[in-house]
Amino acid sequence: MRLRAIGDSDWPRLKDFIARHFGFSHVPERAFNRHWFSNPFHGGWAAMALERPDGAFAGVMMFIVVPCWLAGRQTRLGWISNGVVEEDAQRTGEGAKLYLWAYRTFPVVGAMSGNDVSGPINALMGEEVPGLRMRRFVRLHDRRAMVMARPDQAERLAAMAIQPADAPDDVQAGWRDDIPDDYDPLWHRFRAPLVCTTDRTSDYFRWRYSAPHIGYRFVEVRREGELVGLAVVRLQQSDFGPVCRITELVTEAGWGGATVRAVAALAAEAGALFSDFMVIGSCMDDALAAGGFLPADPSTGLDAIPHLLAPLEHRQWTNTFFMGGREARRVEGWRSPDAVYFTKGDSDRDWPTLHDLDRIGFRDAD
Amino acid sequence: MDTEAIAAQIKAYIASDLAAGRPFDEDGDLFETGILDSLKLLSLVMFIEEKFDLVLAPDELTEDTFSRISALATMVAAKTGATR
Repeated sequence: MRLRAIGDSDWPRLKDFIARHFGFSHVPERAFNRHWFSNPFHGGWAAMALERPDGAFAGVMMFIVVPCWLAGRQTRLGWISNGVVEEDAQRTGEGAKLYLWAYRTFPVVGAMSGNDVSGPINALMGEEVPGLRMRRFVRLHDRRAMVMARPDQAERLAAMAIQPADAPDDVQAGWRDDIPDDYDPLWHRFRAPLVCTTDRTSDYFRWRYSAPHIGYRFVEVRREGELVGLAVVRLQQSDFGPVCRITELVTEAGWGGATVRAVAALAAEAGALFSDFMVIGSCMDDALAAGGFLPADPSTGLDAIPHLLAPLEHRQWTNTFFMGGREARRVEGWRSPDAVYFTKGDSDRDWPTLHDLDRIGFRDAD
Repeated sequence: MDTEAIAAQIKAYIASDLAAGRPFDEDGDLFETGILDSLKLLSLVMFIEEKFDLVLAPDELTEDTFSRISALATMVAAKTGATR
């Protein structure tokens, strides 16, 4: 079988492969796939196919390529998003070609989660660093959120005190639909102490948050006119009410807590049942705690509040994180929670499901 | 290093690391006998690259080459300029 890059003209075959092999969270629509896999940071499709002699695809792997800040300079990170190899091709190890291509091609390779097949391969080709996992933090705003809770924790959560979310007095916060003009300097200061992160410049945000089918909003937090915090938020309409999914937090040193509190207050005001944020790395831990967010794990019981809401699923994500690639291997210092910062906004962690698209009446015209 | 010596090193690696001490047919098809899958194929690639100081391209991971130790040793010998 031949390994080759996927191009625009392959769309009918790729769409067929996606529909047959990828799950309900991968939208088989050209505009959606072009946005994510043929973006300006790669220039053309970042997707590879294993092609049979008759031209049919026996395997596909798709990558989301983003700018990466690694040890003080810009490079590229390829997230392994979806990869499937058909059963007969698995028997002759054809999937190995796709992984070898990925880890040889991108300076930095990232993979979040992983099944029984991909997990060990990513661990072999990259690294799974102990302690570097995606963690979820939750702040409850409304007792109606308990309707969603896994039944075995419902009583415990019902007894939990819910503090009203109040914005701090020393900042001014508000919603906006675009990125503030003075955002980039804030990001440059935020990224300075980090060794590895997506380079969340305004250019990156403009691409990332114009993704089809999901509406994102920005929350700016200012102190005496100066931007001290920016959050990107999706107000997800679930079957039970709105939920505030925070996908980005970028803050000035010392103003993280105020920013998180301000975002929580705006979310509560908008009727959100709860707010959550997912993160790899520890640099926002203190800010999240100051903003009333608790870890969603067995110690709090908040892991009973499901992450997957469309449709509601109590299954826990396997939030492992692997990183590799030729540049990542050479760089020291990123293998530490305080050196890395990735969020729910990275990779394909905040995709719409086909259930979400039914809700907005999406019909594929392609 | 000649092809036979390369084959011996590959056999030793497969026996100790991939077959995990289980007896395996050294002349058999490594995929059909279940010795290789994607994960173990990549492990073998990394072993070969490090041991013989070469780089394999993804397209070189063919069934014809990797299914038998003799074919794999021949390919490694050709890439390293080893003698027969």
